[in-house]
Amino acid sequence: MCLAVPVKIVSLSKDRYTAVVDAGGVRREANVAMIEEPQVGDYILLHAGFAIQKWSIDDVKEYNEIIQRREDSIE
Amino acid sequence: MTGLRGFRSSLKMLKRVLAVVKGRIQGVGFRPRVYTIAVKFGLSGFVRNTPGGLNIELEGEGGDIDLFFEELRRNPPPVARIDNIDVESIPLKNEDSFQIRESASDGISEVCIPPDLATCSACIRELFDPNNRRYRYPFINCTDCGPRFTIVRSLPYDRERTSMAEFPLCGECEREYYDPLDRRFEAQPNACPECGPVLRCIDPEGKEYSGDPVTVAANLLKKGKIVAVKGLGGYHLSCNALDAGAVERLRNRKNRPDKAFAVMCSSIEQVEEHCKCTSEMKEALLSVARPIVVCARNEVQRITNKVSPDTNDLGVMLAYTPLHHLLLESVGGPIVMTSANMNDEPIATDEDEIKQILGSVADAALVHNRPIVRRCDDSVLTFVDRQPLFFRRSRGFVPDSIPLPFEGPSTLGCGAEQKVAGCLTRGDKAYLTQHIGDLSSYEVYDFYAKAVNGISSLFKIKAEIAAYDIHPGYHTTEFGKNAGLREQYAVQHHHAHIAACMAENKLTGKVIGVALDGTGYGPDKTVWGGEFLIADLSEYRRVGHFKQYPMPGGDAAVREPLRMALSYAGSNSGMKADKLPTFITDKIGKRNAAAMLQAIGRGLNSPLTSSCGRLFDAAAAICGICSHPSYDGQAPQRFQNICDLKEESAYSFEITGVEDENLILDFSEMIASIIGDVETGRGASLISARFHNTLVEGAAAMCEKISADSGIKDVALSGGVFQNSIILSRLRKLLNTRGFNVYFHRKLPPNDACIAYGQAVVALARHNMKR
Ligand SMILES: [Zn+2]
Ligand SMILES: [Zn+2]
Ligand SMILES: [Zn+2]
Repeated sequence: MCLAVPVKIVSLSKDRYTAVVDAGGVRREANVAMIEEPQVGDYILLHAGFAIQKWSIDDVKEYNEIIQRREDSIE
Repeated sequence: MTGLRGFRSSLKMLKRVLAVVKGRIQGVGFRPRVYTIAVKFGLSGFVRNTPGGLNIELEGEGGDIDLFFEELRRNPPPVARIDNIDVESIPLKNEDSFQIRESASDGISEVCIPPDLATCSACIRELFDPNNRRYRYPFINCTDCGPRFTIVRSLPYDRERTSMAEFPLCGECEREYYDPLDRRFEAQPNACPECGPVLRCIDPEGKEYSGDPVTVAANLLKKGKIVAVKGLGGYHLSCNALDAGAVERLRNRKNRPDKAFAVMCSSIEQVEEHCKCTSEMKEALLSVARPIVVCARNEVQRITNKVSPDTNDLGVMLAYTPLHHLLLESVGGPIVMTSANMNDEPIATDEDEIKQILGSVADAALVHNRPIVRRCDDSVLTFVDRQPLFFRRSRGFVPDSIPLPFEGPSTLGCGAEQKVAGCLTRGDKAYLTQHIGDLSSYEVYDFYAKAVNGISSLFKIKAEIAAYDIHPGYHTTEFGKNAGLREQYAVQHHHAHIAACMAENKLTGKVIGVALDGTGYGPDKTVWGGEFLIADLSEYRRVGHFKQYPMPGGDAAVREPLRMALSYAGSNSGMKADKLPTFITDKIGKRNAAAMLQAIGRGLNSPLTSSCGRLFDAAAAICGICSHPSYDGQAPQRFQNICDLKEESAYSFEITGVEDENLILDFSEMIASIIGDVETGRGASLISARFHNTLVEGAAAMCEKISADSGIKDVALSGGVFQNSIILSRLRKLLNTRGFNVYFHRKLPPNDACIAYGQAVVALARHNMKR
């Protein structure tokens, strides 16, 4: 299964073209040149190393709730 | 019939007429002029304002009545404008005298009030006359001058419906106000130190400085301080234009690093000390509208170039309120006058708004207690080939109407998203709002809604039709859809541009429309902006466009011209990062450039555009002119400024076959040549000149091809790129020599400020077709 996971921008390069992101505790580099005004703290959707869209706070909340519900149902 | 009049009427042919006069007739001293002329020819009757126009009833000998109208037409008050006089005969009433009567305030308002008018010379003389009772009174005005649009709450234009309502006239002012032969007869904002508004100079804590407020403010300005000054339509931020340190400080505090500031001078002589201005420019500077006029700077001058670092031009204006005259007299030299606002917010108009700026941006403020009812920025224009070219139409011009080529039901034109001005029509006239700006924040949107509703209530226009852009995401589109009007039309952006240009020029047939522009939504969901249309007022067909290129990162490419440089250069080199010119990869970074090309290749957030504005951005960025603009249009501004005007050579271009049945104007060869010129170290002035010339030749060649197929010889030009005087002037000349009739805007800016008007025109044309 390919599940889009929101990752959080931890730091940005000076030119704002690349970022270090946090994906569930794992840090990696991502290219953020193709999204609108990336900011530290933004949640983004990654695809093959490229940020392809920003997640709004609501999107992230909804995602976390879904994950939470799934985990609850598994227990 | 009794008495002498009865006797006279039996000898001469007496008659009585009712005349309804329409035009700019309120608040301009029209009724006293009518009175004076009527008395001169021995006519009886009355004159009064009604919402349907000025009514004059005249009784007397037919020949005298004719003479009356002849003189009124020949010699109206200075700022009045007569559009139309309807005369009909009515029964005699046998009155003995001529009277000026009260206004009637019901019904539809057909009259229009003038815009705000600059202080007249008679008032300036009194302002500086120590023996006059208004000596140094900052609110002196008369029927020929003073605020109008910015203080009126509703029509008819009488004092109780203006923000002067809270200042009851003193005895002497009242005498002037009711004397038909006085210069201040019914001057609604009439005031004096006894009864009128008062000026204060306050510090950042809101505490009033002691002493004459103007002198205090002038001394602060001379010391390099920044002072907020309440003008007609809002506050300005002011500082000494000769003081580089002060201007730099203002730039830092206003967070506006490069965009030009306007400068206010005390006299036309002072303007000429700093600028080269043509006779047309001088005339505009001295007109009652008192716009900012963009003139070329003199080679040697004392105004710091920090005022307009990106251009050799200077936006200058003359003092237009008594307060400005006093301030400039005290300061002596020219002062910077820029709208008091932060970033993208509307101009500040009241003390609450100025409080937020005081201390952080301004060191002091000149404030007064006459409320500003409508915020209104300064207008900005220049002249190209002796014709006016508007950048911004606002104070001094709004709410004057713009003619429509035909009549129709009242229509709301909503505008686009940037440089917005709304539009409402009635009959064969369009009324545009003042300049609103870019709808980026809630504050600006709120200003927009209030301005549109303001025109609607001021002129009692109830729109029946709504017209808006086809872009689903524009705030103005939403506004138009939510206006609750039964008939609605969505209009493509560049069709609106061309229709606006056509309507201004009273064209109703088919034209070749050349829209060179930044951004507009195309029905194919790509970004348009270098468009060739065959259009009439109701329909258009896209017959050609600039070759499309991807915009890496969407709007990010608008803010970073280097991305467009990469896109053009990358497309030319087969999207291979290692074939990109090193001066581009050096700036963006090799890895970033490769990644961006890869993203473009995958179609990742890289919408296609045919925009002429983006081509400008790319060319400027390739030349290293501007990679990170601090304001909209900075790259083209700088690129135009360095253009070598004597250079006549051009690059090559191609008009290629038919992609979706369109002619494609392909500038790939030009891009390759520009890169070559940069690599071989040719100067940016030469490259800029060749670029400008190529664009002009390419556009003209397209017109010729389109004309060969269609037989159309009329060309209408519109779009933000035509704010570039080189493109405008050269394309116009080239098309003329090739036998085209070329039409351009003279009343509205070619940028998106004309869109609302164009939308309304298209909607009206479509409505009329249906019937
Ligand atoms: Zn006056
Ligand atoms: Zn008074
Ligand atoms: Zn446009």
